Amino acid sequence: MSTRQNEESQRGNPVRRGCFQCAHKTKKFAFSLILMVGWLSAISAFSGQSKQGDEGILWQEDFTQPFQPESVMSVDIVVSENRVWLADKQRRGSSHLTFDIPIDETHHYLQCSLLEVSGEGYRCFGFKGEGESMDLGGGAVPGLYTFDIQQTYPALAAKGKVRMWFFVHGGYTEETPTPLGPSFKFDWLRVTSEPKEGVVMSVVGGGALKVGSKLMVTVWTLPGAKDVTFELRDDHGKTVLLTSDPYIQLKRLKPGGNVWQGEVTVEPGYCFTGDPPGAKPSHKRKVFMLSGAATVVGGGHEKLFTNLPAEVELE
Amino acid sequence: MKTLSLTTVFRKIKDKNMYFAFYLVCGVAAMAALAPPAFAETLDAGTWSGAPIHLDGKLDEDAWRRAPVQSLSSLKDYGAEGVKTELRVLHDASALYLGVLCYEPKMAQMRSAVTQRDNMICMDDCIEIFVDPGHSKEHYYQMLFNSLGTQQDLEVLEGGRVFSKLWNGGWRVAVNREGGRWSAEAAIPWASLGGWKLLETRIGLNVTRERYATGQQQLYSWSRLDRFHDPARFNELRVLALDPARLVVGNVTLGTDVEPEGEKWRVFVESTVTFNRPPPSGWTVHLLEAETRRELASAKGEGTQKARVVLPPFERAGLGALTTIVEVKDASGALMGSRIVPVELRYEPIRVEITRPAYRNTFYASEPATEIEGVVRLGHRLVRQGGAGGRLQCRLTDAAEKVVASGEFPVGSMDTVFKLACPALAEGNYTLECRYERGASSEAVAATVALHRVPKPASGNEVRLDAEGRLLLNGAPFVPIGWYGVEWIGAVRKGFAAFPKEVNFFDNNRPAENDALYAGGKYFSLEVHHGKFEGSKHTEWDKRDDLSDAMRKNVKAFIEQYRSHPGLLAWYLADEPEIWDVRPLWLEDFYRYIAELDPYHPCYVIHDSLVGLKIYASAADIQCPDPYFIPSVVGSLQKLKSFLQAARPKEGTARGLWATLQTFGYHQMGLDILTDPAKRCPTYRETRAVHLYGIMLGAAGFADFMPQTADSDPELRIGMPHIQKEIAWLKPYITAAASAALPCQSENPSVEIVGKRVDGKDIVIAVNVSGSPVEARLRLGGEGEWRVVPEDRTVTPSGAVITDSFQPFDVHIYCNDPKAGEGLVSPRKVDEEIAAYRAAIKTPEGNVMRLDNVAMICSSGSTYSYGEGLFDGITDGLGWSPMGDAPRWIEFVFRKECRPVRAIIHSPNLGHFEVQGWTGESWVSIGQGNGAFSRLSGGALAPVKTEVPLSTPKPIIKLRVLVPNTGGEINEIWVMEESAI
Repeated sequence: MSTRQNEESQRGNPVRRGCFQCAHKTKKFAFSLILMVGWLSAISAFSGQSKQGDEGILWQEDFTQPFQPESVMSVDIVVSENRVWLADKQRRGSSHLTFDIPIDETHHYLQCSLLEVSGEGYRCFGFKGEGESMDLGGGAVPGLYTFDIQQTYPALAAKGKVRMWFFVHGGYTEETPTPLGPSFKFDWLRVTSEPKEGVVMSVVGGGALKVGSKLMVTVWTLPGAKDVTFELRDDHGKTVLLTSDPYIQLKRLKPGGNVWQGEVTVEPGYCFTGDPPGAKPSHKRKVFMLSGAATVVGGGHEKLFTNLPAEVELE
Repeated sequence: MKTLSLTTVFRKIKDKNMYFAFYLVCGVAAMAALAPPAFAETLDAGTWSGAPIHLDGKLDEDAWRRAPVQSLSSLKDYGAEGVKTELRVLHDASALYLGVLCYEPKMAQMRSAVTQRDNMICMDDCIEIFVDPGHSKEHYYQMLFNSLGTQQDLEVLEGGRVFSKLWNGGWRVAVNREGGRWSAEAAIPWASLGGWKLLETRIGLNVTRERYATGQQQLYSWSRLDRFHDPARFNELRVLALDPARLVVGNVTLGTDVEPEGEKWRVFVESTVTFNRPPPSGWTVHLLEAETRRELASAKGEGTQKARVVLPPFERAGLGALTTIVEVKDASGALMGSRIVPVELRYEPIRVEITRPAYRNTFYASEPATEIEGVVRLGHRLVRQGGAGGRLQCRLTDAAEKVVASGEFPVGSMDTVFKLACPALAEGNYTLECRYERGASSEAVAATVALHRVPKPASGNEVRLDAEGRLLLNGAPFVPIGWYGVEWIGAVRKGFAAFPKEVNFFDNNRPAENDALYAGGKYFSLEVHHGKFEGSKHTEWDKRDDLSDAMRKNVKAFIEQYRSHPGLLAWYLADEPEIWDVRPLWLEDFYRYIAELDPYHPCYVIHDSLVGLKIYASAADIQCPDPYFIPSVVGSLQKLKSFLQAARPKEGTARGLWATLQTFGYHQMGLDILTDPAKRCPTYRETRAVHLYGIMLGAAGFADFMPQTADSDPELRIGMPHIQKEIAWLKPYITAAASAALPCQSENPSVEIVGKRVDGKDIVIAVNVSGSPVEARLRLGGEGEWRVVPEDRTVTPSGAVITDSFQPFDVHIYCNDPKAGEGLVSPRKVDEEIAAYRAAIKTPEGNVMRLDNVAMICSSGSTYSYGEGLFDGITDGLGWSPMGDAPRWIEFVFRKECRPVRAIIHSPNLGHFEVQGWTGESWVSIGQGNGAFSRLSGGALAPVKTEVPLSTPKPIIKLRVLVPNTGGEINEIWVMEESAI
């Protein structure tokens, strides 16, 4: 039995490893799955391939077993040394795979660790809940990503499971034969309760981000962190200014603690159109995929990323 | 609530084509996918006999009942919220019929707001039809309608990457709403579609549904695909009743003329029909009023490739816009082609077009004014009355109405070409009257045209275009090579004279820089920017079709103020007017007014869409598209080709073509390269490729967009001057007449090739337009040794063919002059120069301001993601220029705590500044200083080194340089730890 499985089992909080095909079909099956995963994890541990996970992990795909998504659409998948390389084979604008993940009121953060991106061209990965019009989030550079499924898909979260679409975009090309798109190397994917490391943001009290509303940012850091700042960007990557400061300075909730928080009240006078820089006014939309990057000095990942699809009313 | 997916935004940025964003929302926004991947299916479309289908949306004909029912699948699992959508497909020899039944338990919540054709139907609950005639997987038609029956249609090219909303198909739809469902019947005449390349009875077809009744977007599709605009995955439909061999009509154009007929107007129409394949004899042309489908006229046609058909005249009550349908039928009455063609009915009994002088009906001092050439076109009535038997009298009079020249010309057809010899015209305004008469009893008709002979400008330059659209500066060919904008690159720091001599042109949005530019040997255009120029507060361009008096007054004042400046080369009329919703007629009036105020400088417009190039084609002398893209990011040069081909002027029209190409990275415009590396600058090689390919496609000038921050990119800073030198070397090639073209050929479709004979030597440009390396066999058109300019090598044809290697987007220039390109630097050596620059980036020991130690840079007002030039060890790199309201600051987040003791700043003009450190709790002041101010002769600024001791009682994590009031820029900053002292 792996160290992680052992710890989780002792807390009565079993880890479900992603088999991507059959999570949550029946309790009996789930139990069998847990046993099976535990057994497989144990093998992994003994073979020296296990990775250390966070506490509170409900589900994890760490690529120690054959990788079997629910469906695959034009994604090139290479598993090597307990990591997966994903790339867009089709290069026509979109490729994806799907997998099912469990979720409950406690465990609603989807995290992924992107280790490396190789190859030239437009690129990004992204998650989206099946049946939802909004993306959950994504990115294009290495780092630790945390997405709050419950916040974005409250209805899906209540169902106890989510079929997640995992996009890998490699930019369009018309070359023949079609070259493989940029490759993304992931270390693991997880559904967790409070992450051991990560960042999330929310509009306090919900609703639109507008003058007077508060944006709350929470960051969990590993030991050694000395400073945490947070930048907010729109879906073009352009800085979203809510005050005169281009970033939010976070402070520890408790001295010596690993949880940092910052809250900023949106001040008047900061316009946000959602248009790319230099662009003329385009047709109006209200909901934007905000992205946030926390910069951590000392300890753990230097960059932690998150997304928040949110209504923004700043004109 | 509708949102854009990340993917949509991603593509939107990629294309930088915001004007078409809504098309992306229609289809590409739907980037989610069907669960199991599947490929297109092949099905047979049903046929029927019996009563025809009556389009009422009810699907109650027997034919529908018998038709197989297809289902649209949801692109995602919508659970209980999902709905059924049924599709029935029928066809006959004339049309494709689609019956769509949309089950909708929430009829009251459906979105159905769009009532005007060609508006954003995709924002409503709607059906989208995609038809790919001939299943080309490249060229298809998208037709949308909502539950009100409002239609929108688009022609889509290049597999879903180029959209044109100018296409209007002759398809019809009727919608019915009842109970818990809405249904529709659509009829798409085969003949209304172009693109029939195959003689097979197969088409690509998909039908999709967008549903919003639940408050969230739901997407359904018949074909199994992951995005709507994926023609390769459209289902294949066999339409056996269709005879595609019959669909031979390519393009249809109309020429119109009217004459008064009592209280009404008699309308004459001549259609020109182009055929893809020879049509059977006995074909006819039918002209219908689109609104009523009433036939206006019909006539038999003759011809197999391109045929002109004169239709019998018909009467109309009024003049103005008329939308027509032109149907071309075979002898049996079956449609061979049908096109919607809008026309403008105007009364012009005789029309005169002047071809000499070629440009603006004006003789300039640098050209002889001894002959006037033109074409006279008679109205249909005159032709009918025997135009060929009449005579054309041309008479040129001066401002005092004295006859200067006259001549009589036989009228041989509708178009009469005349050449009127005249004595060398003196300066002044003239009137050319062209009078047609046939016999003494016949009514004479005449048209007059204003002509001008302008003197050499008293001050300033004479800038004009010749008949082939080439820019002439005081009579000599001029190829503008330069920049859009002047704020960048430290025009302040360097001075314009510091730019390479090949850079000869700036688009100037700051008239205050006029003198500095000219003193630096640079010409410039001034932005009048569809009336948004300095001092103008009028924003009328989206509300009127002509200039207001107030606008005219402002424009006049502005033009008169600057038109005599010796550095002025052109007026920059508008920046992407399509995005500002500038009305085409307003812009044309704006252009004509400026042309009237200043005959000595042409006007150009920048466009970022194909539609813009078309609808504003008459509103400028020069079209200047700006297709921004990075070749290896998109894997193709096709976007550039599409834009330049669309912008290419017709021969002999004295219209020019320039290009504004991407010489920047979007990260330099505030976007974050950390989260999207594709927002980088193009490399030197990519930039070279787009410029030289642009020249091959006809671009005769460049106003590249290179904001000031791009100067920090070594690929552009080092590479651009070399590219500009190559363009300058190619000036004879660029300005050579079209007749100088050489018969060169490429045997590899990935390598495009164009050659010209210039000054007795042959120059051939070959471009690998693909993102893959290729070996290409090229026929350069001559024997002997060819020098590859400027690559320091030669090639010798074997059997008139050379074989050469091309890296992705590689460009080779071949010239049969052994000394060609001397002084140019080989691209390989430029690569080495860039690599050497990167290798020279250095930092002294103990400097904590290093790329590997800085986790984040931000400055007041924004993050700052292009700061590498700030601490690259090279003080001539661009650094930080504070913007926005004081106090202004730049801040660096270190990866490790540090205790610096000294800051070294290089700046040419930094005033008082303060250095602060973040201790983990608060900002503390750790040093202060005063920068020096250094101005070199000629006004350029030079960086000066300033050292400031720092006092850091506690380790700091972040360091901030605060410029409280005085401003100034920083070229280089080092922050030294004690160990370095």
